[in-house]
Amino acid sequence: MPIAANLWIMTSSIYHDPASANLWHPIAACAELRDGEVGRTTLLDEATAYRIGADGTASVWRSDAEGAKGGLPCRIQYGYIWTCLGDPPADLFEIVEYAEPDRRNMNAISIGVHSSAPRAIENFLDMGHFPFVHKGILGAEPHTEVKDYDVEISVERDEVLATRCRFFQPQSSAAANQGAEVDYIYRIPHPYCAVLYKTSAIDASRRDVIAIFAQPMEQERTRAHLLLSILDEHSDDSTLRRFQQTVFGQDKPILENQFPRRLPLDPRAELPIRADKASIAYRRWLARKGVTYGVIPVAA
Amino acid sequence: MITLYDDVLSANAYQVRLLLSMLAIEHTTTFVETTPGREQFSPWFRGLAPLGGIPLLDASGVLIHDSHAILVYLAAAYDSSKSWYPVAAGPAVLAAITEWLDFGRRLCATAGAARLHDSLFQPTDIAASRRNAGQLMRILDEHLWFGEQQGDEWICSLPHPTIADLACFPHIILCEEGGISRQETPAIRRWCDRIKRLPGFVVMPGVFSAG
Amino acid sequence: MWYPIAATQDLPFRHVYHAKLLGQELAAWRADDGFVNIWENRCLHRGVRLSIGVNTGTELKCQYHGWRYANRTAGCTYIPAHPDRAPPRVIANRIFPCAERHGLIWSSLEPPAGEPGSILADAVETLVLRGIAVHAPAALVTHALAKIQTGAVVFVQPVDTANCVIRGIVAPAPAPDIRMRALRHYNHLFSAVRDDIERAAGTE
Repeated sequence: MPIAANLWIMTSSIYHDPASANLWHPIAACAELRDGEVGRTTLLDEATAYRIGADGTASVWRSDAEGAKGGLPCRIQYGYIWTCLGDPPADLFEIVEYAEPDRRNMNAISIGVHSSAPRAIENFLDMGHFPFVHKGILGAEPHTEVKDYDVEISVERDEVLATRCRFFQPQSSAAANQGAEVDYIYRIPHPYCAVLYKTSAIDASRRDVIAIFAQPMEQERTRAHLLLSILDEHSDDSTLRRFQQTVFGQDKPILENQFPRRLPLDPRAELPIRADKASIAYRRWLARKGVTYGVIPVAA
Repeated sequence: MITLYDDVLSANAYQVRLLLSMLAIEHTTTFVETTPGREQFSPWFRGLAPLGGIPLLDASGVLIHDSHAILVYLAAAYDSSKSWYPVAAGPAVLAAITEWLDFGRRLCATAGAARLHDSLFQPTDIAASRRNAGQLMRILDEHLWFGEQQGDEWICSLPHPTIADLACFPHIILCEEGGISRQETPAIRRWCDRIKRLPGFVVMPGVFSAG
Repeated sequence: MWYPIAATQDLPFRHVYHAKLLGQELAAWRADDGFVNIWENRCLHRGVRLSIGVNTGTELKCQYHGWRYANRTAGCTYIPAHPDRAPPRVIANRIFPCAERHGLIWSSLEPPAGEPGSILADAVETLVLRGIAVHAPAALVTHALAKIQTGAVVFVQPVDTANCVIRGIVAPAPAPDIRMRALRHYNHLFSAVRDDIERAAGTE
């Protein structure tokens, strides 16, 4: 249901729907900022600047050619600076695995893509493309079947969850050296963030965590921050990052050749199949929340 | 033994990966992480390559930087067909190849820069980069179209591809990442298909195989 | 209304041609049996361009999930995610009309009445000139071309409100020994028209 325009938040001179404005959004990976350096980026069409002080705290502000325009709320979490253009929620979603002492935590890459944040999220949830786009790594013909899985929209936790997802993968991670059927859980705790929990190749009782935190720069332009929080005793950091950079680099030309660039929320706009249960739920959840940024809302 | 210093997302390194594969040259790879690691500026790499660029080739102790120089070296040293850099074809052909290597450099500075700007937020005048890349692509499209009219399939008027094709291909095939379309350059699109069908062709993230 | 969108030579073996007509993107491909398919350039599943897909000779395969669409019918024949099920009959790409005439491929956005008007007798062999993309509206280019005597039959394909393609043919085709000279002559002529218009409009 669309939110009435008079409830929209006015931030500087741009109106945003509260579903997009009153959210924490990632704008930079902390590790990539050098001491004292001021970074600049665009968030929801607004120019922002950011830095990390000597004491390790971040500051973010609206900026333009005339200089600083006003401080914005900010926090550091999972190795990223997050900010909000409206009223931020008290907390950001939790990823408990991140705090485990034997985790390898890092930003694999922050990469721009000519597509909307919701399109990038939906691609992240999709398994049917593994044997084609990620051939030889996350999938291979003839193992193309997407077996039935379970999807839940939790109103209480305000997130979408897809469980019992299974797919045969020739090389499921940097650590894997043979094919295996991998078990996946997808969790969408934020309109523009998705978290994947996949069986670890090292310890089948635990899960590697790979997340996409999509920074909506513009309606049809996104900076995807890819978090890795995984178990691996042997590979160095750049090997782990390289695997994820390869995978997302393969997704990029698909996203950039997908139209419309904004995600259509009307269920009749595109042709989902059984394998698309998670994306159907994601679109419905966005529509219920009144998200309008990066989507084509359901016609009134 | 040959060692390639490489980065998965590098378009310039892709030129070299293509020739290494097409000539089936055995080699090892040492990855240098340009993003986010900026490893190409690290002291250890700068010690090998003062200009700090990827790719770098170590051919049994001889260090060669710059993708075009590496293409010349590999073709001259390893190509038994003598077709990728056909010295015997005479000075006019070698001059033409060198002109098109320069063209590839211009593609790097325009289409390549646009890609790095849009993907990795490296500064450039993006409007100028796209506009200039478009002009270069019109020139290449016209050249390839007239070549097709005379039965040529490659950049140089020879019955086989040369390193000129490999120098230009990566920046062209990845140009959409910089917001540049190939819809107006149909001869370029057909040439890209032909390159993808060459024996030993390999993809990189962002490139689809011929299928 | 029929417009030329490509030259016959633009659709070689196993290629997918990326066209655009009046703002509508099209994917055009020739099957191995010679049939030319012109479809909306969007896979019905999730909107990925079919022009980046694979022409297998009998089907067009989408690059994203491998969905396959049949030559002639544009019906979806295979969905790899559910390999044991036949896709619903209703899944078929939007087909646009196609005609090959005078060495050009013609299409239309609405069902046209009849075939493209015959400018020349069908038996006449033509020389198809290089198509010249112009960053300007078709009307402007048509107007500029009307002022010059070319000796070619020239069509202007409206790509969208700001772009068009000059597509000319010479009929009858000149003798083989002057063919290349004619191609270069017209390429130069139409490129000059393009350059003048784009310079004036600032759209080089």
